[in-house]
Amino acid sequence: MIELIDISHGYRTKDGFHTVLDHVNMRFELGHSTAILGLNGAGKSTLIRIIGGAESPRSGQVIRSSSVSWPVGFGGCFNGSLTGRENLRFVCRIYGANIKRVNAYVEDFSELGEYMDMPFKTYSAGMRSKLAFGLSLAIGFDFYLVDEAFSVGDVVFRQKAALQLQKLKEQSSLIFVSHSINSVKAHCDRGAVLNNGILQSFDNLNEAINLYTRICNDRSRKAA
Amino acid sequence: MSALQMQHMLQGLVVQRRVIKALILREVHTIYGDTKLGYLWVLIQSAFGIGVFWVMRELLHAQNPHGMPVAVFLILGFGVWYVISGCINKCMNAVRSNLPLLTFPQVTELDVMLGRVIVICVTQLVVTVLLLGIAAALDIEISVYSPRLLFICFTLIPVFGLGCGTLLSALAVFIPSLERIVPLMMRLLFFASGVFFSATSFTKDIADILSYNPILQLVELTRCAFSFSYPRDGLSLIYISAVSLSVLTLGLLLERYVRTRRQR
Repeated sequence: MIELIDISHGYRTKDGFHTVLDHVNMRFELGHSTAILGLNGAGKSTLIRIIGGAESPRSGQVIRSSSVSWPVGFGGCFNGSLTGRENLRFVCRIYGANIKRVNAYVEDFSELGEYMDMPFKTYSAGMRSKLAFGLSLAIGFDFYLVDEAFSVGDVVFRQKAALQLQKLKEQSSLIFVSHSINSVKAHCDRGAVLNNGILQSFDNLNEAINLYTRICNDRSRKAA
Repeated sequence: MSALQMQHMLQGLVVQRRVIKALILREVHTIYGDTKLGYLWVLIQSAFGIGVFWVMRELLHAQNPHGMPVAVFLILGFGVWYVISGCINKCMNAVRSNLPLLTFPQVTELDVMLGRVIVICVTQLVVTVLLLGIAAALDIEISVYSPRLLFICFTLIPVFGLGCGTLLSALAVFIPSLERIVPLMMRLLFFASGVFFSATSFTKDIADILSYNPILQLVELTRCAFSFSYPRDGLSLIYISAVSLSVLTLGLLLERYVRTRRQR
C-alpha cells in the first residue's frame, strides 16, 4: 500500500511561489490500478516522482509498505552517454538485482539487438521506453509507476506492452499517467484527477474520466 | 533507538553503499572510459601542469624552496590543489549532469557528490604517488618526515573539498550566478594558494594575509609532512581542522535544506 498524507509541493519562481500540489491525500491499494488524469503541466509527473521517492515533497508524508518502481516512461532516467547495457548494469547495482538474469530478460523483451551496446542518447523514444519498461519488469515491483510510456512505441510494442501489463496486474498494480482514455480504460479500475494542485480520487474510473473530460471541455471553450 | 529503527538505518546504509559503488563505477566509466588512453590522461594532465611551472621556476632561477626539491614541492602543491578544485567543480555540476539518475529514489544528490569526491581523491592520490615514484626514479630525494601530519592532511583535504563542494552547490540553488563566479574565484585562488610558491617567500604582512586561505594551509602542511626544514610559520592544524569541519557541517546541513527546493 502507498499512502500520501497531506502532501504539498511547489517551486519559487520569479513571480512568486508556484504551487504544484496542494494538500494532496490519497491511498493506493494493491490489487487496484489507478489512473492519474490531468492537463499538461497539472503536476502529474511531479506527483509520480513524489510517490516513487525521486523527489521529496515540501511538506507531508509518503508511506510505502510495498515496493514501488521508478517512474517508467520514455523520459530520461538513464544516462545518455552510457550504453543501454551499462545503464542496465547501473540499475541492477542500485537495486541489488542479478545483472546476468536481468540482462537476458531485457534483451529478449526489448528486442533492441545491437542497440543495447549503443549510447542511450542515440535511442528513439520508442526504444527508450522499451528498455525502461523491460528493465522495470525484470526487477519486479509491487507498484509500477508508468508515465505515458507506451504512447510512443510502435504497434507491435504497444501490443506486447499491453499484454505484459495484463499479466503484470495479476501480482502488481499500476499507477498510470496517460492522456489516452482508451489505454486508461484498458488498464485501470480507479482514477484520480489532478487540477490546480488539487487531487480528487474516485473508486470508479468512469467518474474520474467524466470529471477530466469536463475540465478539458472547459479549457477548450476558454481557449475558443 | 528502537530495534526497528536500527534495522531501517542499517538497511539504508546497505542501499547507500550499493548506490555509491554504482555511481563510482559509472563516474569512472564516463570520465575516462571513452578515450583510448583513459586514465593515463589524468596523469598526463597533472604532469603537464607541474612541468610548466617547473620550467618557469628554472627559467627564473628560483631557489629550491627551503631545501625541498622543486619536483616534490610542485607535485604536492598541485596534488592538493587538484583535489580541492576538482571537488568544488564536480560537486557544483553533480546534480545537473546526473539529473536522469536522480529519478531513482535510492540516488540522492549527496550520493552523487560523494561518489565524485571519492573518485577525485583516489585518482589524485594514485597520480601523486606515481609522480613521486617517477621523481624518486630520477634520483630526486623524497622522504616522509612526519607520517602523522601526512595522515591528518590526507583526512582534512577530502573533508574540506566535500564541504566546499556541498556548500557551494547548495548556495548556487539560491544564487545561480555562483556557477559563474566560483570558477573565476578559483582562478584567483590558484595564485593565492601557494601551489607553486611558498608563503614564506613573501614579506610577513602578505604571508599573514595569505595564511587565512585554508587551501594554502593544506598545501603547506602537506609539504611540511615531507620535510624537516620546511617552515611552519603561520600554519595551524587547529585553524584548518576547525575550518574544514565547519565547512563540511554547514555544507551537509545546507545540502539537506535545499534538496526539496531544487527545481528539476
